[in-house]
Amino acid sequence: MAKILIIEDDPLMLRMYERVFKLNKYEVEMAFDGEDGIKKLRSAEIKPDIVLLDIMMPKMSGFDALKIIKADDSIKDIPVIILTNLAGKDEAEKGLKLGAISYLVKSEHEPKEIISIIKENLEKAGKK
Amino acid sequence: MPVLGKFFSAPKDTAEDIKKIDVSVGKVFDSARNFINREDLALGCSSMLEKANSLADKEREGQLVRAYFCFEEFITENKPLVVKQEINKIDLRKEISKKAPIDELPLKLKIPFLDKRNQLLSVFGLATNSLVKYLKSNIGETNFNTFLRASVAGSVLSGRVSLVGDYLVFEQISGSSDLLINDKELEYSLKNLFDSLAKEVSAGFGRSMSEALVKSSLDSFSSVLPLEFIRIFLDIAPLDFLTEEKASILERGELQKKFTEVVKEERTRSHEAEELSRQLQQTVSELNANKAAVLNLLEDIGAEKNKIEKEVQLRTEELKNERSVLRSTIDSLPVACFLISSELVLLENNSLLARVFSADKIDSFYDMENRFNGFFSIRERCLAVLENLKPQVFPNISYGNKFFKIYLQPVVSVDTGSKIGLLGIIEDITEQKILDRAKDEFFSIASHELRTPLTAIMGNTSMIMEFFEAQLPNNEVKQMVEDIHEASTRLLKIVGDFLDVSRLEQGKIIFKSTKFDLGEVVKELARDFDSAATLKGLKLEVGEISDGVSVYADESKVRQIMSNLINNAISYTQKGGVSLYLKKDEPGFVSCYIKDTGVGISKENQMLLFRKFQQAQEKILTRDASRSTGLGLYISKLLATAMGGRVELVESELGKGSTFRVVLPIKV
Repeated sequence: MAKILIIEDDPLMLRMYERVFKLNKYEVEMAFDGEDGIKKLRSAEIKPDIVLLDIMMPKMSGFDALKIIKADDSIKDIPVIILTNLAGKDEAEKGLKLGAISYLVKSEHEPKEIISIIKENLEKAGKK
Repeated sequence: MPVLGKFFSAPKDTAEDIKKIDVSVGKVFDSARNFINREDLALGCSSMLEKANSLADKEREGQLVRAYFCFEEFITENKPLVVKQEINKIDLRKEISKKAPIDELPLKLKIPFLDKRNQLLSVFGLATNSLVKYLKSNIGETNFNTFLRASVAGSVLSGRVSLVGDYLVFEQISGSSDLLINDKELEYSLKNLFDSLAKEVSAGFGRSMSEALVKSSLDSFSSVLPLEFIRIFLDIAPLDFLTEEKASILERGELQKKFTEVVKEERTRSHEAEELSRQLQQTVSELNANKAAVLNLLEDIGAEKNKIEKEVQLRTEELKNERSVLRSTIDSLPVACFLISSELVLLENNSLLARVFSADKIDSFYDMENRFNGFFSIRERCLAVLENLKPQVFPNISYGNKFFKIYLQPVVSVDTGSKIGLLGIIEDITEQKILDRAKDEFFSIASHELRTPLTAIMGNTSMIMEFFEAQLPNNEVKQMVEDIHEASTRLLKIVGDFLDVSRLEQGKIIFKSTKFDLGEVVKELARDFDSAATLKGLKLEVGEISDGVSVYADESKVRQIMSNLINNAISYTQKGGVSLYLKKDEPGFVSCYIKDTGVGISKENQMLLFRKFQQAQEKILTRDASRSTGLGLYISKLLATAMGGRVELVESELGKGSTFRVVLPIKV
């Protein structure tokens, strides 16, 4: 079963998406800010198949984290999907430019839609 | 009755022969009528004629003669106003002799009208009269006749001299033409005869007697006749007689001549003076006329000047008022304002101008230029505007820690279109910038912070319904969870709309316009909304759409607009349906029509469509059943406008339905 790393500072969101993915039989790892996320990404034990990255977080924003991820050869190939409530076009463009494979606005998608998008992207990346 | 009859009204007891003379003389005067004004005929000699009237017969005759010569002179000396026609003495005498009975005149008066020879003879008769009379009475008539015959025989006279009364009369012997003598010879002969007479008296009665007699003749002659005849007298008088008289008379003649010349000259001068005076008078009257005209003109000019002055005053007043209005307008403007001439001279400015520069006052254009130095090249910008006569706006000029929006507007004459100057407005937008930034931040945070909990509510309720429905205790709880989910969804939509509006208004939405097939989009949307329509029992039809109806726009935004309109159409229609069709009814544009058979919109509410937070509800406080935010049409309008198109209501009628259309450009 595919493993998903959710980097999200808001526990409400974190708990909800944890539940969403677990209910849909995904393995879920969680990080609470950018730094934490990168640390977990680099650890040999976790090795997620896909990353869901929030933008507005303490310590390190999602964009900064993404830059680091994409600059780190050991983790740069892990697909990153930005999942945020920043609905601006600028932010979306910036995210995609930095290397995210998709930019999702949380409020615009029901949980099941998120699941299908993740599934789709995992299939694209050759993972289940 | 002769014209001058009144001067000859001789007393009734006057002798017949005198009356006869009077009439003759009257005729003489009368015959001069052609040359003199009737009224003034005798002006020059009236006093003499009057005197003649009062005199005794002998003297009267002399006076009449003098009157004539005086009259003659009066006419021939050409006195102005009186004389009708200029004439000389000779011609006058000829004229009179033609008309008047000369033979009837007394001898002395007859003389001027005679020819030269007869004048000589008459003068001779008169000149010798005293001697003849004396001799005759002293030696007797018979002796005198003897003496006369002897004297004539001793002279060259070829004629006969006879005694008529006391006068010697010479008669030429007729028929003997070879014996005819000329005037000179006659004069010579008469002179000899006169000389003989004088010698005869001298011989018999002493030289002094003879001389005295000749002198008395001369006296009576010269007292009446003019110089020209006196000369004749003297010419024939005895050589050694009258030498003194001759000299004095000749001298008198010279003087007379000179006097006459002087008088003539004086007259000429007087004429000239009169002519001058007349011309002067004419000039004066012309001048007066001119003066009157000039005065009238001056009066007119004065009136005109007054009028113009009044007008100028009025206009000045108006200008002052206009200036005051301009002044107070500029002063009351909430932005810094300045007015400069084409030569960049600062004409007007308000106190806010100094304030934007944090100065006490701005004195000149140069002052302003200095303060702008390094931030805004105002001189070049103003010159460019004055050159092109096109307004320019510089929306974001940074000035230290301030931000300005600067408008430069050319000022041209309304009448002539000529360049007057430039109006500049400097708007301090620093506060606005801060507010905008704060607003952006607010929206950004608000959207994020509002959305996150709502997303949690929506997501969790969604999962409850999907995965834990069976665990819910009853249908009521299930319904409650569904309501919570729907509420959160709606709230998220509202937040999303707010954010869209904010971004659209700030121009922060990026449009990615491309050329795409509008027909295809319409067909897809029709399929998407088909289930929603069917659910309400409505028909969603697509009219005939020809291939390749492409437009140039941001496809996703077009879909957003169309979705909003189709959604509205379905929401507000209870029965019938919604139809979609395309039309190329405007050059350069394609229109997509969305027509429904819904509730329709009243005229009053049509005005409110496309405004922020407006729904086409009939009562403001009654929200309609659509539960929308009232931002949909407003957002659609902003989106369409930003892409060079528009959204509009074509028609609508309460209870019958509405037709909207989206107009999009075909090309960039």
